[in-house]
This record gives sequence, structure tokens and C-alpha cells, in this order.
Amino acid sequence: MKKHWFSIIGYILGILILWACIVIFRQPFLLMLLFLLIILPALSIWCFHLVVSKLKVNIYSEVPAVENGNTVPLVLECENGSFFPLFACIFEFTLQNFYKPNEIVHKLSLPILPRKKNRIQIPVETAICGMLSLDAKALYISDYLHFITKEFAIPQKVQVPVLPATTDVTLPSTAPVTDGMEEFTESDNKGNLSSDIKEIREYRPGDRLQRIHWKLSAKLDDLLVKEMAHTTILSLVVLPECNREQIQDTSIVLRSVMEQLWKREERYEVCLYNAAACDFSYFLITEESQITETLIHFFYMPLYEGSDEAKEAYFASAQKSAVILQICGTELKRIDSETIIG
Amino acid sequence: MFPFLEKRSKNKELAQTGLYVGTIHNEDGLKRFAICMLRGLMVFLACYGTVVGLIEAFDIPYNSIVVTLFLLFISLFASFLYIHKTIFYIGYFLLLFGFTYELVRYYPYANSGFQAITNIIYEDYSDYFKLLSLREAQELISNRYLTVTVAMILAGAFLAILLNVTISGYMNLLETILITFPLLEIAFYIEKRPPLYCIIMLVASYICVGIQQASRHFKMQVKGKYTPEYMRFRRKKSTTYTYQSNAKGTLQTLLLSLVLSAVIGLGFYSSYYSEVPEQPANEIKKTTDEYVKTFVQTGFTGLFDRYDSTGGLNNGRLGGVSSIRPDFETDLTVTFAPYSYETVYLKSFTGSYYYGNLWTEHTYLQSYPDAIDAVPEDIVASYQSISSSNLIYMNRETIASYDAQYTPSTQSSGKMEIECLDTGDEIFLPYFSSDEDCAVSNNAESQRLLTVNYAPYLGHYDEETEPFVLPEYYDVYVNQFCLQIPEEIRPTLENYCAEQDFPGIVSGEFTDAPTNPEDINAYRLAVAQAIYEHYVADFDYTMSPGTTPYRQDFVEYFLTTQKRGVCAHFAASATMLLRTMGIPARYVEGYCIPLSTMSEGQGVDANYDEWYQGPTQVAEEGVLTVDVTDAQAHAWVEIYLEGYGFVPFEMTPPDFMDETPINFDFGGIFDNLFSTPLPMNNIIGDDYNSEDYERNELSLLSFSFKASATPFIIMIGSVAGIIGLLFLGRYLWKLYKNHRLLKAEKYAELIYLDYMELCRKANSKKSLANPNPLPDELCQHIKDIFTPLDITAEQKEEIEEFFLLLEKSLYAPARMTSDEYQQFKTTLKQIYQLLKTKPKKNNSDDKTTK
Repeated sequence: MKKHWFSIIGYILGILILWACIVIFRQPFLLMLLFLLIILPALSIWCFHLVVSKLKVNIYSEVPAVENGNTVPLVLECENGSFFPLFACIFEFTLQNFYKPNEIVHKLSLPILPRKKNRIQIPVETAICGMLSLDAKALYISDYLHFITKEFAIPQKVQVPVLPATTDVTLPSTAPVTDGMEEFTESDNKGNLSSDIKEIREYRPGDRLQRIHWKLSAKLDDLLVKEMAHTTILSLVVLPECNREQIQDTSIVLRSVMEQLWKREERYEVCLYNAAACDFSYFLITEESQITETLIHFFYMPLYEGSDEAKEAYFASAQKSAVILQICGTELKRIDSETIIG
Repeated sequence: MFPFLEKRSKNKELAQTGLYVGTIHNEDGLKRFAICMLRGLMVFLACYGTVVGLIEAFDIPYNSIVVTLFLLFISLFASFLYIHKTIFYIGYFLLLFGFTYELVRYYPYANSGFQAITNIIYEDYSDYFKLLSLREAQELISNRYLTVTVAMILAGAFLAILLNVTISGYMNLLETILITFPLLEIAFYIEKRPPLYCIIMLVASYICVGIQQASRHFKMQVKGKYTPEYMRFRRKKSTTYTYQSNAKGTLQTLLLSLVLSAVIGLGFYSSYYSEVPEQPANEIKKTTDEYVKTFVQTGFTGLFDRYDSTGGLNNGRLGGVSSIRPDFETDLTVTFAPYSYETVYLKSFTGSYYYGNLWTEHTYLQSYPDAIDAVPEDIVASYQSISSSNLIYMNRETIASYDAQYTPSTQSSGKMEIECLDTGDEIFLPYFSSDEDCAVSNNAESQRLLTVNYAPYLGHYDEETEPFVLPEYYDVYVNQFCLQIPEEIRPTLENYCAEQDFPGIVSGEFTDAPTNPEDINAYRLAVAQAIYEHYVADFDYTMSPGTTPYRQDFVEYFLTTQKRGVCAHFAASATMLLRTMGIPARYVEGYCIPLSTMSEGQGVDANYDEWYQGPTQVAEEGVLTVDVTDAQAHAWVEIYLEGYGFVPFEMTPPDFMDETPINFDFGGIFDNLFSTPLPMNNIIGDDYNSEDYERNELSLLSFSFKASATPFIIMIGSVAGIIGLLFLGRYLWKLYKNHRLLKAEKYAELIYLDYMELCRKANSKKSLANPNPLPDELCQHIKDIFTPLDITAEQKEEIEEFFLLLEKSLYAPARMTSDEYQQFKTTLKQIYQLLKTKPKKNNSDDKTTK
């Protein structure tokens, strides 16, 4: 609780002056004003506490994701359950895209009217794709006379993915390298998963929730994921490089590639490389919504400076044998053929 | 913010962070209409509470319905000016024009209304303070119900406009209180109570304004093209978005304030109307009371007095009193036997030496080293020789005895008892008497009682009286001290005398005065009489002459500039003029008892012979007791007559001591301006205040615009002049600002100003698609304009460079150099010239076109 001594002292000074005037001039009206001045602070602080005790703050986005260039409609909602309004409230928050972090603090003043949900629309225009994040710091609420200000903590965070716009890319041939074994040829059916569990492994970011082995996880108190056996071998892996300088182009190409492959009904996986954890996450695209989901995971991946780090790590760690489509900036390469498509 | 800057800032922010917070919107919206309406109600509450509260407190009759409706209308009208920028400017002009028009149109009514209100208020103040004198304004129209209503409407309109600024514009409580409370304090000060509902309204407006001001979010900008719902303020590490106002919030605050105010008001109902118990007033209250009394009796000018101005004596101090404000309390009670119809003078102060707006008694010269320093050396030498050779000269009583050497030829004597009720330690001596003739004692009530024996002065010197012979040093005193003039004002006085038709002045030259004692005395009296007549003809007597400006001489200022004053002005200046003419004279203060006062005296059962012996001009012989008030404090002149001593001479024009009410006119300042065409002047005649006149000639709808065209022309001319001055001021300010920027080498800012100007000019030549274009857009636009002009390749290149410089100044302002700025200016001039050029039909003349 912050006290505004300047306002308080000024107010007390006003009371003293009025008191002196009453002593000197003895006018009932001045006495009435003095009484008013004395009860006003009490009333102000009482109303303030009443409002604060019945205040609920919520912040959310009206849409789950937006495409780059569009506006993210964030909404701040303050529900005041009391009968009194407060007018000097400041909502403090930071707003950033993970790809371009900043330290600018945004301060939004708002009136909190009684017995209603006060909704303030905060439209955020975007110029780059990535994960937009609004971190609510606090709501600073002052009483009517601006004597005290209370910090109303709002431990809330809203993250909205800003999806890249798609572009036309020419996909290289995705035909698998054949070695004569028929049973390993590519199937035309996407998502040909069998019901057999190949293995149980630990949860990795990016794993779909439906694959979590809930019973086992509950028993072992750790999240475990079912790795299903494929009826056919996955032959195509999209491997985006999280190069810092080219991340925007990479995002655009990644989304374009994923959508084109989806349209071509190719069955493929997206392999995301977490450079900080030196770990890979695989996202099998079996539904259109998984494209967005995969992109969201992609936005969380830490960036690095090199342009082939993911590829090198992929081969170094002996990941799956497949046709690799490496995306770095606007470059889309098939690893085995080294085709460059720009 | 300008859209161009907004756009630039947005682009910058998007480039830096990839994000930009757009136009924030509250679900409730701004709702300007509702906000203006609510603010209009707030203005109305404050305005109505003040104006009606004041009028009701003094029980002044008025038409409450008309006043209420009008105040509501004007409050709402004023507050709705804030709804849009265009309405704001046009509305304010209309408001100003309408207000002035109506003020001029109903000037006689408004003036009379204000005067009626002030008269009633003054009456109540006079009653409260038990003032004997009354400052009274002249009401041109006697129908107070009508005139007060008109005056209230106009005053209310003015107040509403002011309150609209403090409430709608600034939302400032202190300013609102300062505008409203002093008016109600007029009533409260003398324990008049405005109706409680007015107080509740006013207090509600105070609470509402106070809460909104404290919330810091209720300064609604005038809506314009660029005013969003939320104001954005960018700083280095933070961005603030501030909402301007909120309709529901304003409504809730207003309701809350009304409820709170009503609860407190009703809670205080009994104590509000109860009588304040009598208690001894404290010093501050007494002082304030004195100021209030001064104001009530003398107006604003009285507040600027440098010393006490309640009448009475000032011991030779001059120029510090703006207005004389006698309290008409009895200062002296004088018992004597009248022997003449002439005014009886009671002298208490004799000023011989004048310097620095101060008269000094000759015996006190040593108390004033500064004054001594200013005395010419020869006078000081003679003065010192006297004082060293004859110390007795320093004795006041001795000097006084020489002052009273005049004795009439016929043996006569009188006795006077002066009871000092409200004076200091001064003694008061009638002509002719000295301190030696005065005995001081206390009466039964412990009042100082002066008993003075005197040789009566019948209003003229008796030529048959045997002249007395003065000692040499007294002659020095008379002929040097009593001819003293400060050297600083001597040239002015000599020129002034030379310009007048005084005896002794021939064709602007001073002539020698007669030397024969009889002739010289006649000459002196003739000059004094001429000065007096000059005053009567060319000077005015007034109780409120104003103070003498600092560093100006009192006498010089009065004679050359002021030409109006009280008795001290006339006496002091006449003394100086007499001395300039070579006539020994002194400035005297005291009390006078004119015949009118004597006639009001009460007879005393006493033996006449004990009180007076000698010739008398009065038919009924008897002893009188008269009350002498401070209004009879007076200053006059003593002229030295050879062989007879100093005799009193009245220099103040005859209307001195006129106790008629002080007439002032609320619109007096406009009298000269509007005097001819206004119907008001027709009132001041036989029909003044007549009912027929009011009914037939001054109905509220009878005003003829034609008849009052002149003031409107003057008014419009004045407005045009003011607007012209504003434009001139703006232009000069622009020049000054440019000069400052150039001096500070802030070229980027200068270029930005030029850029805005160029945008405007380019837009006027051919409308821009975007009125606030980016540099490249403007560049393209200019090129489009110049295409038909067929400009040279060199010029095109210069224009390209010009826009490059422009972009540089906008995006890299710190790198601009003086040379680049000069280059920019040169090309800019060329562009301006090209913009003025009209494309010629004949292409063969294109060179001349360029």
C-alpha cells in the first residue's frame, strides 16, 4: 500500500486553513465544509477497501491465434462487485513477442464502475510472427482522494500465437530412398498408426495430449507417452532451423510447407530441435489443427545463431532415418539430394 | 498527436518490438454527449448555487423561473462546446458575441440590476457594521424585480462560462472554489444565509469536481480529428494510456456527490441557520472587518491606502490615501460661543517644510535628518544660527505664541472647551491662540479636556490693528522656511504659475510684488483668491482621488496630472503655489466647524459673557456644544500677512465635506464608449425612473439595433483588432521560436516546421491524398504538381536532394549541419516559388516560367 504523502499533507493543510478560517470568522458554512473534509477521507478509504475486496481481474484473448499483420484482440476484464466506482486505476503490463523481447512497461488507466464487468479492449497490432505474450504485472488502485494506492497483483499471462502468413514454396521430391524392401515403402494413407504401443517414453514438449498414458503416468507420478507402432514407416521429416536472423522466414516457409504437405495428404513429422536442451520433439501431423499446434511449439524453441545446428544435431544423435526437409530462412533443402529451393 | 507523428511512431515501435498497441477502447465508450450533459449539470449546480444563493441571502427579488431556465441553458450550452473542436471555436465566438450583444442591448437593465444588488448589499453591510455613511449606486431603472433578473442572467452567464472552463476544461477544484466561494462569502461575512439547497448544490459540485480531479482522468480534450478515447504518452521505457473521461463514472460521481452533500447539508440544517454566538472578535477578524468596511465605503481604491484613511489627520503625510473613508464617529465635542458665520478652524498641525510628500513642523526639523539634508545651505545656516543664538526658538510654545500675535483692534476674547473623544495627544487651537493659552485636564469621564482662551478671528484681518514687530529670527523663519520649495519641483511650479492668470503674472512673467505692507497684504490675499478660483474652475473635489504614484511628487502630480483631490491636495498645492509667487504660506491640518455643524449644535446653559466678549456677527448670543466628527478633519492654508502673522485661508473648493452618496456606475468604464447611442442617456432626464418610460421606452423588446450601431462597430472593430493582435503575436512568436531554434542549432526541428508548412502549401495547391503525408509521399506529390511546369533536370535533382535532407532530418536529426540546413532553405524557397508559378499554355515560354 503506497501512501501519497503530498496529497495527504496538502489535504491536512487545507483542513488546517479551513479550521483557522472557522476560528477567525465563525461561519456555519465553513464548519460544514470542515466536516465534509474530515469525513471525505474516511469515506474514500472505506469505498476503496470495499471495491478492492470485491474486485476480480481477468485478462484474455478473444481469439486463440492470429495471422501476422492482424490485430490481437486482448481484453482486460475487471469485475467490481461493490456499489462504488473507482476511477484512478492503472493496469500495468508488459507486451512482447518472444522473437523480439522488450522491456517497455505499458500503463493503462481505467475506471472501475460498480456492479459490472468493466471490459477494456487492448488491440495489439503485429508486425512479426511468433508468440505474443502479455504479462500482467499489477493493477494499481487509488482511492477517490488519491491518498493511497494499492497494488493488486494479477499473476496472469496471456499468450497468443501470431502465425506467419503462407507463401508459395516448391516442395522437393518427398519420395523415400528405396532400398528394395517393399514393406518399408511409403504408404499413401496419412496417419497410419496402429493400435500397438511400440514403446513408453517420457513426455516431451510437443507430444499430443491424447498420447499420454494417463494411468501409467498417475501410477509413476510422471508424464509418460505412448509411442505407437506405425504400419508404415514414416519417411518424411520436416526439420526447421531456429536461426535467429532468419526465424521469420523460417516460420513462413515452415507453415507453407506443412500446409502444402497436408494438402498433398503426405504423412510427415515435424522435428523441432531444442538447442538449449539438445533435444528433439516430433510432431506427427495427422490433423490440420496440428499444424498450428506444431507452430506454437516451434515459437517456443530457443533461437540460435548457426544455420545448420538442427541438421547437424539430428544426424549426430542418430535420429530417425527418413527424408529430411530442412528449412532455414527461405531455403528448403532435401538433405539427401541437397536440392536448394529458394 | 498528429497522424504523421503517430504513424512514424507506430512504424518505429513495430520495427523495434514487432508490436503496437492500437486504439484502446472501453466497452462503455467515451460518450461525449452524455459527458457534456453531465458536466453542464455540474456547471449549473455551481453557478446556480452561487448566483441564486447570493441573491436569496440578501432577499433580493428576482424571477426565479427565468433565471433557473437561463442558467441551465447557458451551462449546458457552454459545456456542449467541448463536444467537438469546430463547435468549440464557433460556439465560443457565438457565446462571446451573444453575451456582449445582450450586455450592450440590456445595458441599462443590467447596470441598474447590478447597482440594485450592490445597493442592497451595501445597505446590509452598513447595517451590520453600523456604518454611518453609505456608498450608494445610482439605479437608472427602479424596477428591481426586472433589473435584478437581467443582471443575474448576465452575471450567471459570465459565471457559467468561467465555471465551464474550470470544470469542463480543467476539472480543477481550487479554481472552481475561487470563482464561486468569494461571491457567497459576501453573504456569509455578515451572517446572511443563502438557502440550504443552494449550498447543497454548490457543495455537490465541489465534491464532484474534487473527486474527478483527484482521479486525474477527467480532463476531456476537445474532440478533434486526432483525439482518441485514450490518450497515449510515450516515454523511454514505458507507455501510458490514459482515458479521458467516462460518462457512467461522471454520473456516478455526481450522484454520489449530491447524496453526500444533501446528507451533510441536512445534517447541518439546524446549525446552519442558527445564530452565531457573540464572541469578542480576534485581531485578524478586526483587520478584515476594517478592510471590508473600507471596501464597502470606498470601493477597491480604498484598499490601496498606504496608511489609515478613516478620516482625521495625517500629520503632514500626503499621497498615500486613495479614498477618504470617514467613520463619522465623534472625535471632538467642542463648546464655545459662536461669534461669526465663518467656519471655525481648530488647528493641530502646522507644516512649514515640505519634502518627499511630507510636511514637517518647523520645530521638528531636527527629527528629520533627511529633511535637513535637503534644505538649502543658506536656510540651514540661518536656521542653525538661530537655534544656536536663541535656543528658546526651538520651543514650540514660543513659536506658537508668535503665530498668534494677531490681536484685533477691538478688545475681544473667547473661551473654548474641547473634549477629545477619539484623537491622539494633539492639542487643537482656535484662531488665534497658542499653546500657552491651552490648559489640558481630564473631565469626569477621563476624557482629555482642552480649555483654550483665544482672540477671535472674524474671517478677515483688521487693517486698523496695530501691527506687531517680530523678532529677527521669526522673520527668517517666515521669509525662508515659509517660502521653501523642493528644488525638484520648483521649475514645474514656476511654469505652472506663469501659465496662470494670477496677480503678479504678466504675459507669463513674474513681476515684482508690492513692497508697501498694506499693498503687499492685499496682493497676497488676491493671489490666494486667484488660486482658489483657479481650483474651483479647473479642479474637482473627490473623496477618492487615488494615491500618488511612487517616486512622484504629490503636489506636482496633483497640479499637472491628477487635478482632483481632497482638502490636503488643495491645501498643500496652494501652499506651494503661494510660495512660488513669493508669499510665505504654511500647510495646516485640524478640524473645521462649518456653519451647518454649528446649526446642529446643542445650546448650553451657561453665562455667555464667560465664553465670549467682543463684537459678534451672530444674531443670537449663546453657548453651543457641537460634535465634531472625523469627517470634519480638514487641511487649509495659512498666509502670512505682514504685521499681522499667519491667517487661515480656505483653498478647498466649496463642495468639500459634501456628504452626498458616492455615485458609481457599474458600466462606467463603457460610458464614453456607449454614451451616445444608448437609450440609457435618454433616461437621465425628466423621464428618469418614470413608470411611463419604463413601460413604453424600455421594454425588453424595444431595443433598436440601428440605434446602437456605433457601439457594435466599435465592438466588432475591437474584436477584429484583438484577433489581428493575436495573429501578429502568433507570427512574432513563430519568428522568435525559429530564431531560438536556429541559435540552438536545432535544424531538424526547424526543418520539421518547414515540412509542415510545405505540406500545407502543397495541399492548397493540389489536395493531398493523405493530409499528413510521409516525406516520400510529399515528394511524389510535389513532383506531380511540377510535372506540367516542365522543370529542368537540375531542379529535379535539387528537389530530390531536398527530400533526402528532409528524411535525414526526420530520421537522423542529430546529424544535420548548418550547411545542409541552408541548402534545404534555398531549395525550399525555390519550391515555394515554383508552387506559385502557374503552368503556361505555350510550352515555348517554359524557360521564363522556370
